[in-house]
Amino acid sequence: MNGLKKILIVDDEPDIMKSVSFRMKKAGYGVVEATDGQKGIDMARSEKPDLILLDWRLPIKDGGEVYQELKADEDLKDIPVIILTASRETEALDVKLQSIGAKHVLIKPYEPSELLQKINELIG
Amino acid sequence: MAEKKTNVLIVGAGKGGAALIDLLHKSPNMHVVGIVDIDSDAPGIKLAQYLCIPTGADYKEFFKEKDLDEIINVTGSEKIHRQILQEKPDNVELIGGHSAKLMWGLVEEQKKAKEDLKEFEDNYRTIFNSATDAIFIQDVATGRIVDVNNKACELLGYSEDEIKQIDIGTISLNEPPYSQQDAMNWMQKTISEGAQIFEWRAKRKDGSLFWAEVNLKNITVAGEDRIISVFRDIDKRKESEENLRNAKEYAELIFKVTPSAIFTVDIDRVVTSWNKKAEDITGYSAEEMVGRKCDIFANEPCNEKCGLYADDVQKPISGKECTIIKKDGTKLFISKNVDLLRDEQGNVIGGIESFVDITVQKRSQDMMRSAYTELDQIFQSAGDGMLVFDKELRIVRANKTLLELVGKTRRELVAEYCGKVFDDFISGVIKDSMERIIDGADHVNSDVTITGVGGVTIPCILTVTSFRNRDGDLVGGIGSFRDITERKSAEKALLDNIRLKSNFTSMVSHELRTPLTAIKEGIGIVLDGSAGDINEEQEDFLATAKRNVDRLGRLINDVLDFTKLQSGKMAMKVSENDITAVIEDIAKIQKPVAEEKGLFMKTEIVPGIPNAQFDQDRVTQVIMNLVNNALKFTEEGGVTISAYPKGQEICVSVDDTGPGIKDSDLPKVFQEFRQIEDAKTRKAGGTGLGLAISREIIQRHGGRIWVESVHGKGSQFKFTLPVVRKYKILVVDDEEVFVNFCTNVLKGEEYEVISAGMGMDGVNIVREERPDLIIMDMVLPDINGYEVIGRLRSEKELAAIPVLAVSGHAEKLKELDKMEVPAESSAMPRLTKPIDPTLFTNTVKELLALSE
Repeated sequence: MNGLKKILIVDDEPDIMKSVSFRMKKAGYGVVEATDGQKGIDMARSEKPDLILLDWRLPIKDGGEVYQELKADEDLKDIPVIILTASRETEALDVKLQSIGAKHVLIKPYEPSELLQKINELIG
Repeated sequence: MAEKKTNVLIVGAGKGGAALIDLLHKSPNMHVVGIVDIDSDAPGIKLAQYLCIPTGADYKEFFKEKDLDEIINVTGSEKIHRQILQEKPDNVELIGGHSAKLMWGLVEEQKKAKEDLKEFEDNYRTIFNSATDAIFIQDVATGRIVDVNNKACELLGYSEDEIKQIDIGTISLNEPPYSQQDAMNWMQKTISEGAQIFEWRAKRKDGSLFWAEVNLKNITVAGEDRIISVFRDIDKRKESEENLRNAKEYAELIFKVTPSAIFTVDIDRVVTSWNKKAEDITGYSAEEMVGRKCDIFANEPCNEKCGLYADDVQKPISGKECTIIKKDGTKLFISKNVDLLRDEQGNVIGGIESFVDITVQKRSQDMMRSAYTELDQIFQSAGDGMLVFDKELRIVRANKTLLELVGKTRRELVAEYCGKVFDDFISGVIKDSMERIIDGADHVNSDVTITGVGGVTIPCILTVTSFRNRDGDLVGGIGSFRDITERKSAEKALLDNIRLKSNFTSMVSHELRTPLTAIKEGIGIVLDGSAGDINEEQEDFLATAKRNVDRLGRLINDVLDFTKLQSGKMAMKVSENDITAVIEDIAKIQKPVAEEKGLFMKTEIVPGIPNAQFDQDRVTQVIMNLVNNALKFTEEGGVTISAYPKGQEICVSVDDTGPGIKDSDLPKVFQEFRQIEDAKTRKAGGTGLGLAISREIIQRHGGRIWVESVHGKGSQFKFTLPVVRKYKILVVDDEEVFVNFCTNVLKGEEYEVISAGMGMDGVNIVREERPDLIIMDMVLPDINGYEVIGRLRSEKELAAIPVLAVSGHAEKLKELDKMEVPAESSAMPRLTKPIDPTLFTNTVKELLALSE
């Protein structure tokens, strides 16, 4: 290993992908990208990232499904996942997040500094 | 000479001997001394034994009879004759042979004559006795009854002998014209004029009277004048004559008073009688009608319709309806009965007709029929599918709409049970509805789905109402199916719309935030120098951009919150919470912000403030909003967050030392998008929704929010939240142990226990503290429990406070027994010490719940 922590970003918005990816690299992390839920799972398996940034609304498989698959996989379940969501309909989302056991959630639009701080806490 | 009887011995006891004994033993001139025959069973021997005439087997035995004069030999044997001749004493004469034969012939002749007479007499008796009429034979001279027949005895109740002892008067009413004398007169009249027939009031032995027809004839019997009188009991005849007379009177009466018109016709249909009612109904009088043909008032030729005219009608007709024309020309509806009149031989001799005017009934029937037709048209054309069913849930009627709805014909529905026509669910609904109607429900509405033609499902509201007859008795039900397909689809559209809107809101939320995230990331990267150095001016503009992007983000959030609050879609997670913690947390977070601005941030919370019911997140949001506002507008001094109890609520106040709000602006403060016009406000980046959202949240909690402000001296934003209800319970007992028991058992969040040791103290404390419940030992050192209650009940405001009476220990119970229990207190809830804690708390809870 070359000492670089690897972050998997799963997001279907290219603009967000671009800026978050840029910021993570600047902060000294390695970045791999997936643009839908299924690709996210595949990449997680093939790349074994140290942390996953997971968007909630995704094509093919949504954030919830991806999260559950990751947590059900012996090899992947220990990878910390930060869920990013633009939905703020708290009741439904809260229930859903609680039911899948999600611990780290950021509501978009989050403060970019806030995100970086959280990542550093988890794998820094 | 005649005095000396001739003593005779008869030899031979055959038929001749027997006849001879019979003849001679009655003879005044002869005396039979004996009869002999070698056969001791001979008829003459038997007869002689019966007549106590000595018998024997040898005639010589009788030779000793000293006065024997004659021996009559009826054996017819010459040998015996000669033998007797030789042996007989000389003075005894022997008759036999030819002489005996001659005598025998004489005897036979006499006997025959006697038998003939007997036969005649017997025959006469038989006739006499077997006559169906009573027959008396009376002596004309004396009027005495000399002979009667059995029937006479039977009729009068006397025996034959008795009758022969009494006179005619005795067997008569014996008052003129039915006296003994009258009877004698009748007899004289019979003798002088011949046979008489008359009616006689006769009397039986038991005193009862009857009518007799008497037929008298005079006859001469053996030269004597006799009257033969034949009695015939004519009571029956009299009775039937009476009945007949009565029946006729009745018939005439009925004819007169009957509500029916009645008339009779002869065989030629000529009216023979015409009653009053017939006059009334037709206007024709009896004088006009009798003697005329009855068809004068018929409306149409009625040969085929009228029983009197139709030749082939041989049986009565009844209830036939037809029309007649009255004398004044008006038309009438009548209902008639016709019967044929026959003579005794059964030949038709005419007819009788009765009829009633049914014009009124007919008209009302017509009216009813047309009303029914109208109702039926309404029923049939009703937009709802309707059916009428009986109590057994059998369909009586169904309208067109229903037939269309279920796709069945009337024949398939009518008389069928609901269970066979509808599915289990609908027939179950109908059954349940009827049960509820029987229990008194007026109508029952249910949502059902009918499976119509081709399996199409039709959502319906089924309304079942009672179906009652004229007397108000429940005879069944009416079910009406209202097709609510359109309403359902409208409801669905509305729901879809709501869903769409809701989706739309969440879409907007998502779709707006995503680009905001990208913008923020972009600005952030440039602003923090990650993408290279920027100059001061660039930084300033990027900061402005960032500030506005943030504001846009907040605005989006606020708009969404407010929308949800207003549409009631934001659920409140209300629970019992401590406001102190909430306020302290906020103060801690905001303190650095305040201090950065040179302001103070402090809290003033009344210790022991009760918990309140609220959604912690939402109330935090409200206080945050108020504190943010306060910090924003305050330049000197600072912000104080205080909380204190206020009645059944707690009050939270966020006070600042800011500019305050003009009186004229106060009403606008909580309106959405109504920021007080102030450059600073704009600069502060408010959305104009914060207070409106706060207002919604507090109102949803059942609290109030308001502002008190003195312009130039700061503002106080206050809101209230309902506290958790705490019941105040007063324990009145001088026993400290029990007071402690109550305090221990009832301690906790729900109850506040206070106590009094004396009755009077208790009354005073109740006045001051207004407890929710009083637990009281009825035996107290000063005044007893009943007196305490009496005092409380006399004060209007205290009267309703429930009291739980507690009975003390044994020694106290004796005292309690002496007390008079006021009637109104006898039903008071009561527990006896020692009290089970669970029972105690449950009782307390129950009493509190009851008094709520």
